[in-house]
Amino acid sequence: MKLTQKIIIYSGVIIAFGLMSVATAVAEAAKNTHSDISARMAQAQQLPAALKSVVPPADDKPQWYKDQVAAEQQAQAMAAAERQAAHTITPRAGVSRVVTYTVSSKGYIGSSLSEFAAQVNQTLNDQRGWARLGVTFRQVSSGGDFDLILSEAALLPTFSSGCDRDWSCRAGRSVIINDDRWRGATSAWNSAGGGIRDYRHMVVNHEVGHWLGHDHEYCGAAGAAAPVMQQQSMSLQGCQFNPWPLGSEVWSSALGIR
Amino acid sequence: MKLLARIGTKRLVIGLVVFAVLVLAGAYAAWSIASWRALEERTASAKQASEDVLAKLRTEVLTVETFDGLHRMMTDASPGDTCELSALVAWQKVVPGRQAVLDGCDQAQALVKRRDAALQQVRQYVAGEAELVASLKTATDKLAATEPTNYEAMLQVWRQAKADSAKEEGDTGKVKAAVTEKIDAIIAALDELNKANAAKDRKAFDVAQEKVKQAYAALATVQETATAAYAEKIDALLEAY
Repeated sequence: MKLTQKIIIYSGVIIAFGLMSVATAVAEAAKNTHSDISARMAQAQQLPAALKSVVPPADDKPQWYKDQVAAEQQAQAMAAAERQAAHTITPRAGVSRVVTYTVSSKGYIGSSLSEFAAQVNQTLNDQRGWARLGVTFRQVSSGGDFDLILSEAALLPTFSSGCDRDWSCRAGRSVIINDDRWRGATSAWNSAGGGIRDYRHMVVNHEVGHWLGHDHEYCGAAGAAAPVMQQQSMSLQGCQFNPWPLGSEVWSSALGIR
Repeated sequence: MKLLARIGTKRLVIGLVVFAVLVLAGAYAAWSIASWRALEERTASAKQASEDVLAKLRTEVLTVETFDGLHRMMTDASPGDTCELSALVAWQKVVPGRQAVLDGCDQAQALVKRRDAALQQVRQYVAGEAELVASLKTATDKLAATEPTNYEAMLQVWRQAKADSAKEEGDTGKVKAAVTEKIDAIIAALDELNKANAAKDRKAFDVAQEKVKQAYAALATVQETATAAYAEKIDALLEAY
């Protein structure tokens, strides 16, 4: 190849490379300009900040609500004192009983039923829970003392008119856990910093607590541990979340254990 | 008279006609040059207006008024059919190079109009959002001054906010619809809370209070819809560039 040809080829390559670099730089500059404008225009948008500034009303309760809670707490304290006075509390160590239950699901559920069954069994037999009654909970395939059902949220009202699609509930011998709550707890629980496993302990203990003979309880004092029979899914009422029955809650009218 | 007689009337007439033709030809040539030059200037002015708007988008504080100013810049640069030439001049597009000047003007004007239309879309959206922001701001100010257990008053504030939002005349489309829907949910939940409060029904009160919290949280999620809708308008504008 002659020198002239080589010079022409090399010059061509250099010029092509130069043109490509210029084109790339121009494209990059245009892109940067658009990014600048895009960012600047985005700053001009005010609606997201305005929406963020809308905060829900404070969790204050009206006076009638506080009065009702105070009256119930007083009645509970009196009842507990009466029980204490009558020495009617059976020592837990002496109780030895097996409570059986079945596990099933209803409707479409997004959770694993086997995981549900395993976690429920752990909760029920945890020494912080209803096992303190001196009972052992055992899952059976049929004919248990009660039925534990993981249900699609929309099907909750089919169990009883008192059951709501937003919550879990107990209807007769059926203890129904709402699949939505099982998977995501509630905003009250989550905003109080409660974990999902603790929520699951709480909801199982709460609903089984109804089967054991408990009604709802209320927060005893601001900052105290909430009774497991308090409706912690809805509101902590100033209490700390607590998945396990308090000492005062360890009794069961259904099992005849006081 | 002697001079006239010497030149002859016929020659004088011919001379005057030739002179007049030359003057008219000169005037026509000057007019043609001026017309084509004006066309080139309008093309340059349209291109410059586009670039100026782009520069201002990078530097100005963007408000509805800013967008109106940018719109004026665009319309001043393209006030109607500015690329039209008189038929007495327009025929000259057959001359090599003249058609390209005419096409260049048309393209520049079309570009300005397209960019201005995209700019107007953003302006309309920003104006609509400003109205929604104003109604929310009024509501939050009133709510801040309301007793925390005066649910009836809260209900009235949100009903008014809904009415104010409905008046919005900008172009926020689905954002306005989403805000209205979420405000409706807040009104429904507060109505339930208000009724539970009046009935002193604690269980219903707890349920309704939870629903109120969820409804407020749902309103906050409209942020995502708003951000996406605005980004769409910005993208359309930048695409026009």
